Amino acid sequence: MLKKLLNINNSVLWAIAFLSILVPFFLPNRYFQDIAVLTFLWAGLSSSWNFYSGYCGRLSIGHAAFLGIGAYSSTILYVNYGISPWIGMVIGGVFSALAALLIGGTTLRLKGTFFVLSTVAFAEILKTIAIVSKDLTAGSLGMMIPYDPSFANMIFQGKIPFAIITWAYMMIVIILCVRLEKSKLGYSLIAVGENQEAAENLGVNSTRVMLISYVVSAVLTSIGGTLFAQYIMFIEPMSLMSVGYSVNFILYAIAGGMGTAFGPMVGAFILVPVTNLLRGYLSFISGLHGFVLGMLLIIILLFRPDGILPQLKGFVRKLMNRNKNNEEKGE
Amino acid sequence: MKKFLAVLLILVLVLGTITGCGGGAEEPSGEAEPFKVGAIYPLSGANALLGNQCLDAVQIAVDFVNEKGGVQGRPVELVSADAPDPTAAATEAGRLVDQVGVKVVFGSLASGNALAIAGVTDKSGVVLVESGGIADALTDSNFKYVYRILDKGGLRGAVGAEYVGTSIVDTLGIAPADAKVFIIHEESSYGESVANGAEAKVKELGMQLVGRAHYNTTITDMSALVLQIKQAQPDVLLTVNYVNDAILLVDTLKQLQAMPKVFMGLGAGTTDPNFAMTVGADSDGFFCTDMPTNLPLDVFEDEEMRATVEAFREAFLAKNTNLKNASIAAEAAFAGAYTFLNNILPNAADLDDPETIRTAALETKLDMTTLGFGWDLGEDGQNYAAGANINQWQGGSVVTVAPESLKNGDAINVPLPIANF
Amino acid sequence: MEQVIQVFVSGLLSGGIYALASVGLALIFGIAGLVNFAHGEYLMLAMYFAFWMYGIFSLDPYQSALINLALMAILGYLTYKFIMERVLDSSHSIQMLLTLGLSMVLQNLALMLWKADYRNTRIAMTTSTLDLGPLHLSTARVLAFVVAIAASVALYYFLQKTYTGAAMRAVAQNGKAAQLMGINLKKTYALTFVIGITLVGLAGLLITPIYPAFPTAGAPYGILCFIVVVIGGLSSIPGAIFGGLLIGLIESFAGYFIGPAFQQAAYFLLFILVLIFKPSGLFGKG
Repeated sequence: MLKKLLNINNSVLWAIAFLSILVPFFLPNRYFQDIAVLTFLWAGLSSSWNFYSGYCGRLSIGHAAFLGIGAYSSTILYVNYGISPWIGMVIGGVFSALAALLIGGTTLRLKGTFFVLSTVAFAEILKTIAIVSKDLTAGSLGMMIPYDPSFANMIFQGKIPFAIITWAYMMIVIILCVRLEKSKLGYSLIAVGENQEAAENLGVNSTRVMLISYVVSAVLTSIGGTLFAQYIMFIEPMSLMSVGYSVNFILYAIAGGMGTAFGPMVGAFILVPVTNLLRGYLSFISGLHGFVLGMLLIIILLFRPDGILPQLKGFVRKLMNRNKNNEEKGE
Repeated sequence: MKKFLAVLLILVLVLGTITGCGGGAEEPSGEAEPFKVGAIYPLSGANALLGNQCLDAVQIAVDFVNEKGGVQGRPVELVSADAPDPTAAATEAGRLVDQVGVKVVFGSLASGNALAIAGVTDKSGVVLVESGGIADALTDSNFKYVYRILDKGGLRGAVGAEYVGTSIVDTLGIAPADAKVFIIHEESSYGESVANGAEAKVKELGMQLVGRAHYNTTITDMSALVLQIKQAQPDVLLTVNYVNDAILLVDTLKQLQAMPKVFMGLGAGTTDPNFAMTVGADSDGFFCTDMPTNLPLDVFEDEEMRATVEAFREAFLAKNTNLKNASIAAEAAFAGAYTFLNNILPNAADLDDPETIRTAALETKLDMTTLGFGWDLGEDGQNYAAGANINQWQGGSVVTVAPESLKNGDAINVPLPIANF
Repeated sequence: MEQVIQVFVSGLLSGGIYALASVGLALIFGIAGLVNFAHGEYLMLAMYFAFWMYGIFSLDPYQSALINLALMAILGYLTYKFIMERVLDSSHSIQMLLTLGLSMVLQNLALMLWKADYRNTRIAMTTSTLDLGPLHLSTARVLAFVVAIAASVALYYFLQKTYTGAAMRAVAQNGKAAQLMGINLKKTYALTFVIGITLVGLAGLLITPIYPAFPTAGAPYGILCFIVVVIGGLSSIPGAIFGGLLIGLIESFAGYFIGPAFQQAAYFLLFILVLIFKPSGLFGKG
């Protein structure tokens, strides 16, 4: 019976995920559609982060580096060489994979806080490289993508095309997470996260398992980076590759529920609109929206550290139970 | 139960904000329909200090214009937005354009923000009046409705370097080819743009560039940088900073006895009155090349303009009681907003048609704006009347020593009495 | 050659401050095992407090030091009581994220209350210089260095020679065993946290004459202190002192020989190298 309930709960989540593509079509104007695009994009990015960090519990606060590699790769190739961002996206993915192999190879065996700090260190180094490589990236001047809409250029008029693309991105990453959960890689990863020694005693090659998922996580993030660059049409290293953005990845996953396939989606669905609306409507007091966001984070972590998802699942379960009881009473 | 409440709180917040701000529709009033404009500045984050000042300045401009009856009889309604980084700037621009329905946006302080905003506003026929971002790309990208009042790209860097390569080398008695120049700048797009302009001009004039370094504005100790300068022993130091790092730089130069014969700041920090006030008497002789700033009122021949400038300074200081002068960023923001609202828009045939606004912007020529230079837009949206003055701190005041037409004093202390080599 | 010595000395002086800020974290993280990503924000708060003391009461940071430190101790206690204590047994991930939220709250609170203006506290000490032969030293930095080292050393002896100190070390080694010996865990954690915050507050007030207070002033110190602590070997006080000095030197040499743009990247690189080759830190065991 429990299994059935869990399936129902997951069905609800699947339904939310699939139906969410309809939301942008009903929004009143492009501002809200913009928020929808960003919501899907961050849901996808956060899920990419979750693919590794969520399941094995090792927080990477340096994922913005992969965001940057993806964004810069496709942008440099497009702006300087005219190569379609769709191809640039794949090339960016390759670069990110290489970077992840390098970073992962050196840091994955580090425990806890050490790993976290090393991800920050690598991200900061990559950011510095982006800033000083002025010939390649124009450094802090940033790179602008000229408006020239076409499918090949991955530039579109209006927000709907990107809403669809980012939704698809989010769905792909979520599906990968769901597959991961049911796969041997996934079980191994979770086992390593819970108790590395025990897992290794049972024959799990923890380094290999973590490296694979870390690389996949990096590549997925990098793809999101290309989408990001093509959507905003302007990138610069200081904000794009910052700790602040890295924290966003984590924020949404934590809020919804780390280590669950739909957690980051739920977190992003709630927090991205809230963040943008807060900033939009509370701008008259400097710093208020940052303050509120920080408070939300503290409240979530103090009172519901497993995120909102279990809460919502429980809520749905209670509803289901009540229905079942009513049925059984023969109403 | 506690946990459930937390979830409920969040959901309520979300729904509340969405419903609370849904629509944004206008109730038709009996009088003229308000003319909505927006101001997008960094109000939080690293640039919050100047961003907030710019917003104050734009608000004052709007207030002045409304006191005079608004634009073509319509009251101006200002909506502000916080853009701590370019991505936020893009979203906020979208909000102002699509949700609020502004026709003109005033911005942006940071070039990154300007580019992100332009990408949004231009497609929708909304005007961006830029008074802060100097990046070349803004007017080199075929935007139709972006109008920049201040100088472009590295102009102030080039102007400063030119003055060094002509006037200063003369006073020092050396040939340009023998002049050694060191360039340092803060690492954001602002510092980068200005430094690029300076470097290009230095090379063009055949001077020796003995070093170029950039640093992050949050730097706490400039010893290493200053020691690099000391090692190179330049005749002239060209530096692009914000206020705080400018002060730290001077302190460190003095302390490590590495002050060159000529110290020329290019924009922002070194032009700020707080800079000279903090550095004290040693600032006599420091150049601060920038847009015209803190001009004495008699520079404005037109009585009305003089009164406006005076009123602006008063109003600004009333909002910022801890300051003695308006920052140049604020002056520029005011100039951009006021000039556009007061001088350009009245000439637009139809305020709701961006094409007529564009015509008005291109065809209106002004000899003078409150920023100290005129308005003469090129097809690309750049104000080619914008210039940079060579200013110098003398006795705690800014004295304009070049160009000839605007000069109100001669340069002093070349070389600096506190120079170490 | 003279230049190089100056580079060395300047780096050392900066390093002293880093050391002081970091020993506080070595206590909190290394000994109490509490991750605090808001560490730098307390430095910022101490700076603001020192600034206001000067602005309102004309007390320079050295004169208002005692009140400032008392205030920091109270803030430390409140933070511990209302936030850290609840997550004593939670995973480090939770603590990291919680304190990340805390740092956002504190930074933005400062922004809301005091705006983004740079608050400079300029006293005579700010520009005073000690000229020792070819070397030129900022008096304020020298004073900061001396106090920082003295405080750090005092902390070390406190841990080694006093009962409370021994209790803290015992708790660091094995909380349960320490409890069995009659040590009150919660009180020890609280005291550790309070002392740690007070020390980083001391670092803040020492740099107030030379550096302005603004909402994000503490941000660079946050990560930096962690790096120092890890390089130094987590719970080792001498390690943190040495680590701080080392970071100061690396910054200075990288800044001089390569460029100021690389100052931060240089010590991040060192950090990564230490993690790869000697993860227990330079002073750590094993």
